[in-house]
Amino acid sequence: MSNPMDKFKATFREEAFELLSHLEDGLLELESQPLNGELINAAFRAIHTVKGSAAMFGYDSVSKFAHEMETALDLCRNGTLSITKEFIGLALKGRDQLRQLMEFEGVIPDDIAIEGASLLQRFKDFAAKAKPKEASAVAVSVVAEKSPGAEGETRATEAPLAEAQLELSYRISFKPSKGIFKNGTRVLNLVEELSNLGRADIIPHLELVPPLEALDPECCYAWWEAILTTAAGENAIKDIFIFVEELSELKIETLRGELGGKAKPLGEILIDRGDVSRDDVREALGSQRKLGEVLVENKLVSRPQVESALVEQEHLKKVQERVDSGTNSIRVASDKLDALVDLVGELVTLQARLAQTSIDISDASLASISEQFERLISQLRDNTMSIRMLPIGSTFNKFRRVVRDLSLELGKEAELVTEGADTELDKTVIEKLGDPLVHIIRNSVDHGIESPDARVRAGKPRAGVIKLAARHSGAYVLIQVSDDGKGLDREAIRAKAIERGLIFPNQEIADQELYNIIFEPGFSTAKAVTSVSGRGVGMDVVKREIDSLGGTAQLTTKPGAGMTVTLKIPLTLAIIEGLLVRIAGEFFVVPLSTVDGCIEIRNDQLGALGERRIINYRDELVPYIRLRGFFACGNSETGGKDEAEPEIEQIVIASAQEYRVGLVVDQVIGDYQIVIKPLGRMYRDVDGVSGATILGDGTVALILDVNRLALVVQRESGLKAAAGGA
Amino acid sequence: MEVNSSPRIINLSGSLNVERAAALKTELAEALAGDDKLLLGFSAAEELDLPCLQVIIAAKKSAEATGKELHFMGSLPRGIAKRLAACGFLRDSSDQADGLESSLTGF
Amino acid sequence: MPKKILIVDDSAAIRQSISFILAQEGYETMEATDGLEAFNMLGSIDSLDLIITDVNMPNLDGIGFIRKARELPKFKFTPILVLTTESQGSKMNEGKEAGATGWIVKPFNSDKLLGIVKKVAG
Repeated sequence: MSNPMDKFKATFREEAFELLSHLEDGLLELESQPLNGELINAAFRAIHTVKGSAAMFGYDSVSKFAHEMETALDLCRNGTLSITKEFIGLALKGRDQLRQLMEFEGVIPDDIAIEGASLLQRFKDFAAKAKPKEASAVAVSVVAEKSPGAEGETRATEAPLAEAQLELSYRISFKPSKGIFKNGTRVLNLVEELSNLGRADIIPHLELVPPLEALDPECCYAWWEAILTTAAGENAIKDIFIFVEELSELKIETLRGELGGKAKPLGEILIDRGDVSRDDVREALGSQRKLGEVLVENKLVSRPQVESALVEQEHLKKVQERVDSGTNSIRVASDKLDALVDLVGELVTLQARLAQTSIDISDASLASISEQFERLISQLRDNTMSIRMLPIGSTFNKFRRVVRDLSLELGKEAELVTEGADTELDKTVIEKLGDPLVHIIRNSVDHGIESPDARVRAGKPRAGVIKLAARHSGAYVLIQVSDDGKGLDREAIRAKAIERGLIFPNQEIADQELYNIIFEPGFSTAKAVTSVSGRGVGMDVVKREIDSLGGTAQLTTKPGAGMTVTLKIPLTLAIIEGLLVRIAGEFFVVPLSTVDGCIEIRNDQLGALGERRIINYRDELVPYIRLRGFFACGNSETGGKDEAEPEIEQIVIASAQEYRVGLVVDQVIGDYQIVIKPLGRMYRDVDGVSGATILGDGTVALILDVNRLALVVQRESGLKAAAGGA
Repeated sequence: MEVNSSPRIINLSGSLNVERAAALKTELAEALAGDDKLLLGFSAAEELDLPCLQVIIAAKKSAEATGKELHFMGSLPRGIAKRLAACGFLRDSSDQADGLESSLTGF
Repeated sequence: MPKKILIVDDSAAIRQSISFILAQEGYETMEATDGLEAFNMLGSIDSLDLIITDVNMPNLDGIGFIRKARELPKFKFTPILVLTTESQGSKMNEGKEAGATGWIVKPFNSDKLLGIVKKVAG
């Protein structure tokens, strides 16, 4: 590590891997928008950068390989060759190869070198295709010569993708003339084209559309405003409307972002747009209500004008945020972050002890310090946790690749659409989610989506759609993978479940429960083992991984219409809020997010130890379990007791998935912030416990696995049908 | 005193392009004259271009002005939903016709 | 259903290269060698998604063809692209006045062609 270049090498590697991952995203996007010049440019630039710096840091094989890819991409960029599906496939392989080459410095394993050579040849072959195409261009220019004097080299041949890389925001208003339909113009095509030019907010105006009686169906009434941020430049925008220059009113204004990144106030935007005068705004601001409302009420602006201005404000704010996050961020190695979280965890634990001590000593000044300390630590904790939060979208593209590759392999057509890519989740959670999600998605492509022909027969589009959606829900993130495939075959699952001894042959079982049997170990309905999802692992692996994250997995299906797997994952793993309870002198923690409430019950009203009984909670029959018996605290089996059962016991009502369960404890102590510690090997197999934590006084408390406990209770109480209504 | 309150359902199919606009106007005007409640379905449509979209919006305005009801139902074919979203007519990325309806009523 | 495009040009090389590029993208193409032949074809066609026509042609030139096509109710709103060599030439204006939707300037490559076709015929 004496060579200072090594330090930059690490930076280069990090940068190169990032570029390659952007390249993959870009190529996948390019596949659906092969004419998007911005995307081609971006892909080209990524490769170009990798090529340049790789040579500097001695990655010659990377540089050489990137050079051929660059050549091919350049031909696409200048329009000589067009982007085809095959090319995207080749480019993706090339990207993978570059990644591989990056992994091995200097010594390249033979198989990779051979693969590289064959890919290189394919890139060269691709680039060579540019020649015959030139021949057809000649054919065209022969005619061009027929009309001499014509300036053939004009607008059409210019690359519309100017060198401009600077992103600018534009305010565009497009008012088609009433008669625009009459020359065959499809107005929506133009607006769509505009929205594809960059990040766009499109505001249609339909105020002028009259009621049906007065409407001339061949007359255009609609008009649009758009706020667009693009690197394509003003000419590219004008080019879209080039055919309708005289048939429409087009206004393009460049918007300037405010310095300092502050959002421009609504009033300024309205003045800027010429909707209202500065004096009117000043006057309206005098009243204490929302500016927009006042102006509309006083008929100084129309409601649509205010709404457009608000869209503009929001758009610019987002652009600014992107710029900010691009410039004001630093990279930190993730293990440093993990260390920070550990330290914060220690602090939280220590703070609990400090609080306890200050209560014991009962000194006013110590108590005040302890309280301040607690506030600061809780802020520190929240901040640290938020640093670890990443948008889940960073992993989405990996899944798009999975769907693409797998559907090709299986001869199916499928597309992945994603939603909520900006949903944030703890980094470690995201990492652990990767494999289960890949498995679920593979399962959907393999078992859910039908072959294109079968889909057509069933009246569906040839290509199946797999939707991956993420959103926040309280302290959880819900992640849904749904497909529009054939759904689950109830009878096949039932038969298999009976065969595997998971249910009795005559057992009545709710559909919902039957479907979730898929998550049981050893269950797989695939008739033949395919190379894809039948590799000996089933959905039970998914279930186990999700369980280990403290989450739940659920499956719903509609025969013929597809299925949905819903994962409910806690936001963070490291520090949670818990309810501290005591049973026979020992401490346990119930994760607060699962707790619905607590009720008291007299000891003699409870069933005998070990028995599972039912209690009425808010008009609902909830089965309960006596944890004293379950964990054999106080050695109750032999009747010996470390601590007598209190006369009045507490039942903590907790919910897990769709079930509620009552947990009988001696005493409920209160809320605690707890740092989750993994269980030692001794405890790893203890049923009903998911982890441990250290309390303020240094004692250890076990964290209850409510999901597991609920399942045990439900299974053994025989109350499944009744709980269905819960 | 209307006794019959069950809505009349019109499933739009084929290419709703500029050539169809005039016929669609007549169809919707007649339907609005005869019924108080109309439900428009788009799931069988192949294309939905601006002229027909304007006719539908106009019909909705007429219905509202005369105290009648006109609602959209079912799903929008993907291609149509994509284009409408790109043109600002669908605010969320929903592909449901009622999403189109709620977006349109804002204008 | 594939989109139907009529290509009108007296140069077989142009016609065929356009037709080839479009067919590769899944469009259904028809060819006519001049405006008159094209106009006669229209009688037996129900609808078209796009017409691409040259300007200078024998018998009936592109401008005349567009005018006549626009008089037919079936093709009143059909997108029509004019093949031209002058970007600002009078032909472009003439074409527009006759009812053309847009134009393609020669020479062009396949991306340019497809881009414009997609823009007007969607």
